[in-house]
Amino acid sequence: MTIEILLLVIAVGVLFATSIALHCIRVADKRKKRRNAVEKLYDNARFGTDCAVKRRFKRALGLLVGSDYVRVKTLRKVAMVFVKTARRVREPIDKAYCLSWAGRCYEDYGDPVLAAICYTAAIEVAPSETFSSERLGDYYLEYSPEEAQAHYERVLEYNPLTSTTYFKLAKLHSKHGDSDKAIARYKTAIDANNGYVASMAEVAIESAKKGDKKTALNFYFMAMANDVCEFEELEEAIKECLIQCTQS
Amino acid sequence: MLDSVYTIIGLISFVLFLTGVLTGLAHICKRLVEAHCIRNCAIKNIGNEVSIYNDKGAKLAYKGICAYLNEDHSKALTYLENAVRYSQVSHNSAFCFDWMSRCYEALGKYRESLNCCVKAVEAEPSNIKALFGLANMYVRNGAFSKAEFYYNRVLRYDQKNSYASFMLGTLFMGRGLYDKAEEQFLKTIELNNESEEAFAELSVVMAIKGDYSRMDSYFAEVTKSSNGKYTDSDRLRKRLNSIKKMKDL
Repeated sequence: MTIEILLLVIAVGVLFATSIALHCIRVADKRKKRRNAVEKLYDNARFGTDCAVKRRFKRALGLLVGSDYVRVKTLRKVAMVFVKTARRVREPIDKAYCLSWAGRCYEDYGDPVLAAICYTAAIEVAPSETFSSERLGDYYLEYSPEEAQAHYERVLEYNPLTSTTYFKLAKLHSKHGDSDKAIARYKTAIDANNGYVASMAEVAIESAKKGDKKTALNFYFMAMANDVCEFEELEEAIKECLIQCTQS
Repeated sequence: MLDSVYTIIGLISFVLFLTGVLTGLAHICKRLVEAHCIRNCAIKNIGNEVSIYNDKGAKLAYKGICAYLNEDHSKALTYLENAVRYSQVSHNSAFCFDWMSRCYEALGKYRESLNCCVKAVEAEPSNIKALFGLANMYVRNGAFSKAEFYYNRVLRYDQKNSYASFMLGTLFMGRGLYDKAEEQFLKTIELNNESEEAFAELSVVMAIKGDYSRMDSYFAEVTKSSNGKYTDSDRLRKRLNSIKKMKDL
């Protein structure tokens, strides 16, 4: 009887040990992935020699990339960790970086107001924090276009090669009915990034609105040569604009 | 009665023991196979002719590639940086810089990645792989004129490289230089007459230029050269029709 029970205990022990070992391996794999993700996100931060702040920031990033599914509750906590880290950092650019991360978390959490506050604080600390400026521009886009424009222009001041910002500014001009300015901005976006197909398509539409068929077709063909995704919609939009222009 | 209870307990313990041992063994085997695949892949990349046991630089590069394949990019970078220090041949340095660029790209550090590509080309200006890497990087960054320069350099060293020729054609096409694009795609077809992508792009160029008969013949070549395997032919047809309609507007 004792031998059988001993055997049973050994077998259960082996099974238990195997499952624990497998679990440990899985946890280690997960940690490795998390560490890699944190390293990837960490690249822009410097934090000087303050190891405690470095660790805190990394921990916050770790919480953020810990699982594929980040709980909403966790996001708020992580945002708070970023804000606290920002308080302890000395360098303005790092402070702004932490605040912009807090803003991102609040945005994902679904609190655009808090996100905007964080972004504004980030810009106040370091005006060269272009990510925060761009996100603020997007935030103000709907109800305060002038403010949005100011933020986008600040992005271009510090980073004149961002084609997406030129594109967003051009969209703003187009919304106000200023076709010439919009076309100029779209063209700058194309110059900043040669393959910016979306801008090519928009120049085609704006030119069609103005009745400039030749330019519209030229940019349409360029967009087609660059394999624009929604070419059928683009075709319809250009046709409609040209018809409206001839009728008026 | 008691005997049968003992037998059942014995059997259960045997099954549990077996399950535990087999699960553990299966996992160990899986890990070993994975590690073996990674090692083989790293050795293939370094080249079978290089002995990693006698060459310290090659050994470090091998470790770096293994770490990269294991998704440990920071560790891979450390190994590869050391490998560059040990490599005395420019080809080896270019090889290490190429892998370092991949590591930086995986880490999301695109500027460093581009720098490594440039260093790889500087280390060995005739290295086609490095030239390709740099040209492709410039394409991704939207710097088409620089990309064009490096694709041309690939073609200078390897005149039969149909992929570089095709990429040059797409660069011309993207900038609206349709005549140059046509010429380049025709060269690509001369190098590889089964390049369905070149035929497809040529048909688009012809549509833009308004030469519909040649457009149709090139479109027919697309399906012919790929034996009906070209998956985007429906989309291409729609694209061509759309251009045709706009041309006749």
